[in-house]
Amino acid sequence: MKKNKARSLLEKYAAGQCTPEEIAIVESWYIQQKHDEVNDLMEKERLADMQEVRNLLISETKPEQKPVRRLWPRIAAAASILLFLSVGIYYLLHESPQQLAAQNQKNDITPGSNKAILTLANGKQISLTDVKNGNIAQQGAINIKKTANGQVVYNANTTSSLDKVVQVTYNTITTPRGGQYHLTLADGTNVWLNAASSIKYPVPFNGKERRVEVTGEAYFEVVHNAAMPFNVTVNGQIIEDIGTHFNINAYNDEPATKTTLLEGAVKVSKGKVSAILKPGQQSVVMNKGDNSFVNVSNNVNTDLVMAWKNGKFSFYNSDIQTVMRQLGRWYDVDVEYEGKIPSTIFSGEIYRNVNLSKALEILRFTNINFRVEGRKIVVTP
Amino acid sequence: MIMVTYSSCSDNELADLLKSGDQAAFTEIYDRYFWLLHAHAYKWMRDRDDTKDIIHELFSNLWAKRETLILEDKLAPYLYASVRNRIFNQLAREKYSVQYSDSLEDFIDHGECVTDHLIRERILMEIIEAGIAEMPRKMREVFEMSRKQQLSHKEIAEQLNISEDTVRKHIQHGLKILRPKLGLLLIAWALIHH
Repeated sequence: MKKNKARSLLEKYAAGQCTPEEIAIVESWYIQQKHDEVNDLMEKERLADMQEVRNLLISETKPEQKPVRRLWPRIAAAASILLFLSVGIYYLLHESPQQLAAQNQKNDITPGSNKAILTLANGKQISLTDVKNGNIAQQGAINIKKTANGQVVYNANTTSSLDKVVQVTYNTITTPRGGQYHLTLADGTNVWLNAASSIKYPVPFNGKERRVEVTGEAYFEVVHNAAMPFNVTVNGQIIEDIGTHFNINAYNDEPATKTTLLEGAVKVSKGKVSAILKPGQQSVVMNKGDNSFVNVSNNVNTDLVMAWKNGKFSFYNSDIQTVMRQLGRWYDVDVEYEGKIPSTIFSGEIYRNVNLSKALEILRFTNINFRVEGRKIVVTP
Repeated sequence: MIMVTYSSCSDNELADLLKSGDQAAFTEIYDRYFWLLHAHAYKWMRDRDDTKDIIHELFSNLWAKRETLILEDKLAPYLYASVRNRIFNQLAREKYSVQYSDSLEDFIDHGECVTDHLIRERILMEIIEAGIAEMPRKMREVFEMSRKQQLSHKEIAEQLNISEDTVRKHIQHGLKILRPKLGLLLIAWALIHH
């Protein structure tokens, strides 16, 4: 009587009379059960049911006439906010596009944009902002091209006889303050540079390893090649890729150099000490003072780390100086503090494509005051 | 200056509000979880009326027991286990047991058990939350946002460098104005001019 066994077990379970073993069986079956996806409800039907049951519940749960006042402190106690509003939503709620356009025409400082300078081995500098799309330079067997979306691509001419003759030369791409850039190296590795950053790399990659040097902040998506590991030298550290996506923040005016791993694995070495990072981990090496340690943080908020690449400033418990250093690089402005530096701590996001005035306006909501003098922001108490 | 909506509250905060008898918090929990619970139940029932009954009873029960439930930080696991138990109640009925008993029978004889109940809870959560992909966009945004809200009202006060009382006033203000106007559509946070 096969069916009875199953049914009696279900009845027992529903009545709360199963042993732990039986519970494990029934619930394991439950989570392994596959369902047909056919004949699913339409969104419209589901929303209609949602409304119907909602109405029933609302009439059932009508509050007894309680004084509203008593509720507020508890709501307050439980409600949460994020400090800044995403600017997009802010606009949506408060401003029409016309108003926006009008504001942009004022003497405002515009946000950073895609710009960089390519320095060839012979010292020749090419502004990647101004140069036309298409071939921009040829170095030995390597062809350098700027694509329609503004990206720089190195194409290796793969005639092997040529490869051997090619002299290894170094190129550097530098972003100014207020610039960012995306390039693809000859091995297919993608690199995104944040403002005031640089990458120096050999053309072509040759020999036992691919070694590049960075300053500032860069995000790498490395094409793995076990025969030719990818190494990044930064602030006296070596980041050795074991096939992977990672971000390096190495600005000299930041307190520490941080390497954050998103995918794969990397080894971070500083002198004799080293650490292997797993995804979600971040290595931290102080830029000043005792910098002989490679500290590793777990469960880093990678959205926060990658915000710059995704077009945002994102802060969590950051002080005003941290916030202003980021704004300074992106808007190419200097920051000064008059009097006592505000002790406000910031959490939240601002889009990077807004004008400086807008970004400052958002900070003003938190009772921080500023004066803008040309390309200088003075933070006032 | 700062506005807050119920949709910006975390699950824990809603659970707290629910305990205190806040009907709007209850409705917010309903709006946040209806889709996932309904989609999951419907997969088993394939019957709109039975599915509606399951959801209705589940939430009626949540409201009725609001003062005694100990949800702590487990609102979602509680809701997911509730919907599963209610589905089991249905499966014990003739209508469904015929349909599912072959499969269960086969599992009793040949299936592999997941003995750790915490792992089962985790898998159940993944199964139900896979439904996020099918949610209407706005609803999904609000749901995902709610999972990221972490700041308590004390933390806000500390961060803004203002008193808890001021935060409270702002929040009251925001809740009063925003809730009826924008409701679900407002994504999590908003600031207005002072």
